Amino acid sequence: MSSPPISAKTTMRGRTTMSDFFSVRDLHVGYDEVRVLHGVSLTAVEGGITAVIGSNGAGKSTLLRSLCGIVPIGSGTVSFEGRDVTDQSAERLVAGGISMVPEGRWIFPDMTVLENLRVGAINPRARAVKDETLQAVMEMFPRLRERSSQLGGTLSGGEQQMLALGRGLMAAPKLLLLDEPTLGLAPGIAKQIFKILPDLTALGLTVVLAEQNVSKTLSIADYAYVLENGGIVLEGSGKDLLGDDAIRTAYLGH
Amino acid sequence: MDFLLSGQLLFAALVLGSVYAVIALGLNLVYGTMRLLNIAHGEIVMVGAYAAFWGFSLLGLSPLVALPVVGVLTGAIGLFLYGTLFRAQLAANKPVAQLEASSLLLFFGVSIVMQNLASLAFTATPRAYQHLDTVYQIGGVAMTGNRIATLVVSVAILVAVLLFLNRSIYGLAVKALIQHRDAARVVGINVDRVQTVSILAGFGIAGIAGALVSMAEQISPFMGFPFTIASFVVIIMGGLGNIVGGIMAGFLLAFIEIYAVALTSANFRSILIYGIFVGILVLRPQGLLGKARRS
Ligand SMILES: Nc1ncnc2c1ncn2[C@@H]1O[C@H](COP(=O)(O)OP(=O)(O)OP(=O)(O)O)[C@@H](O)[C@H]1O
Ligand SMILES: [Mg+2]
Repeated sequence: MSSPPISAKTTMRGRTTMSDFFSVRDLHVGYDEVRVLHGVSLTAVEGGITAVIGSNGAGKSTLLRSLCGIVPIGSGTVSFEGRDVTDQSAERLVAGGISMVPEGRWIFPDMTVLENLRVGAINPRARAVKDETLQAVMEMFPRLRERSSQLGGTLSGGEQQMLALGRGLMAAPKLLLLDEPTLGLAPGIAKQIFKILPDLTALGLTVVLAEQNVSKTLSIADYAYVLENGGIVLEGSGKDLLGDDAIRTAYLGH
Repeated sequence: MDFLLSGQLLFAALVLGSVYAVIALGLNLVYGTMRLLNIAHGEIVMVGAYAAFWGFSLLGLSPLVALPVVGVLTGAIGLFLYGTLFRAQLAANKPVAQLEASSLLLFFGVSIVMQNLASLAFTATPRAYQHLDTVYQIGGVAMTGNRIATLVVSVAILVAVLLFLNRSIYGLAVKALIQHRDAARVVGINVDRVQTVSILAGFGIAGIAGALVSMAEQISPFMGFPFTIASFVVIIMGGLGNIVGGIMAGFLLAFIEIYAVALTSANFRSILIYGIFVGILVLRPQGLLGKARRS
């Protein structure tokens, strides 16, 4: 039941073409003195869930932050809908259809739930459909409707995560980047979030999900990459990786 | 002690409070969105006051008519300083402590330069002019026309800014940037544009406040410093970057000042304001009215 680890490099060359919906090639990213990502390449499954798993400090957040334009990319290329978007600002990336739900949620604490959602639709494309999107978000998270005039900072952790997800969806994205959406949440709520993610792809969204909750993530992922020390060390379908011996010992503890 | 209940003191406190609230609002917008500590803020008030003075003396222009022009003029100073001194630093996402420290030093220099330029150009002699100084008796309270106008215009500015911040999507973008800079970028806000608008508005309304003040008080190249101090006291009282808290604190400080001076003497004004400043910093640095905002 084990699939051999595939070298990221050789596969990538075959998989990455400019006609891909979203792909990343040979990405190098760092902060002032630290180099964090050393040549990461990946391709998102269009209309599916692509997972990036890895332990603390592997570079998952750095990867997603660079993809949404808030950490500058050192070198490498990012292509989205056949266009090179490597050096675009966060504002342009959001306007183009890439939306990020950051680790730690980053909601606006002194704005109401409704204001948080409204400001999520600030890009022109999203603003044109904001009423419909708001309706859909409220249906997906009825709790947000109940709390709509409450300040974001007064919500519980789970509710804040729903708000962060809802705000990300208000941008009317084509690609949603999710950074550890279940971090620090009670198991029940985490389960709820994992249940919602496949629904998002049913709406036509493409999802890139960074997670440490490996078994849950692999069970919903169409394709997954394992990130270690800033490099991809393993990749495969969610199902294959779930059965992979190396994954089982390193991440699933059995 | 009956005089404490007089409408006269109440009116004076409301006028001063509205001016403090407007000036501090400008400072708060600039600090909140960019974490720049503008200790030249009072000098912008001074420039607005001189602009109104010269407009009135040379062109016979009522300061009330000249308000938009004064606002654009001081707003343009803000844009110039933003473009030359701060834009690049902000785009590089420097840490907050670094922005605060470097802006404090740079604005200190700006403040000295502006005071000296004003002294050179206009001399250090205080000036004043008479405009709208008819006294109206309303409900037993004597009010000069220019003080009524100051109150009305200031309150109108406060209401307009609050409506903008809470109703308009661009206002929400300003609040978002104040509350969480990285999140503002994540949701796709054009941070540079919000900063530009904030510094334009912050400097513009400080200049307008100066024009209002000039109708009723003497002006001089050194009139700015007390306003700088008062507005820092106000925004610290209200919680740095907390817009509503700052407005309430503006009125609160004015009430404390007017009533305390009425009970003692005008000589105590500075001691009082510095005392409140130090007291708040020591006892409640997060502000009386709001919690400190995260970076
Ligand atoms: N702003 C920053 N400045 C400097 N170094 C950073 C910064 N953010 C992250 N790092 C470093 O980059 C490395 C990767 O961090 P990153 O947050 O991307 O990992 P992660 O996989 O998301 O981890 P976690 O699962 O804990 O969220 C770490 O060594 C971290 O210390
Ligand atoms: Mg992370």
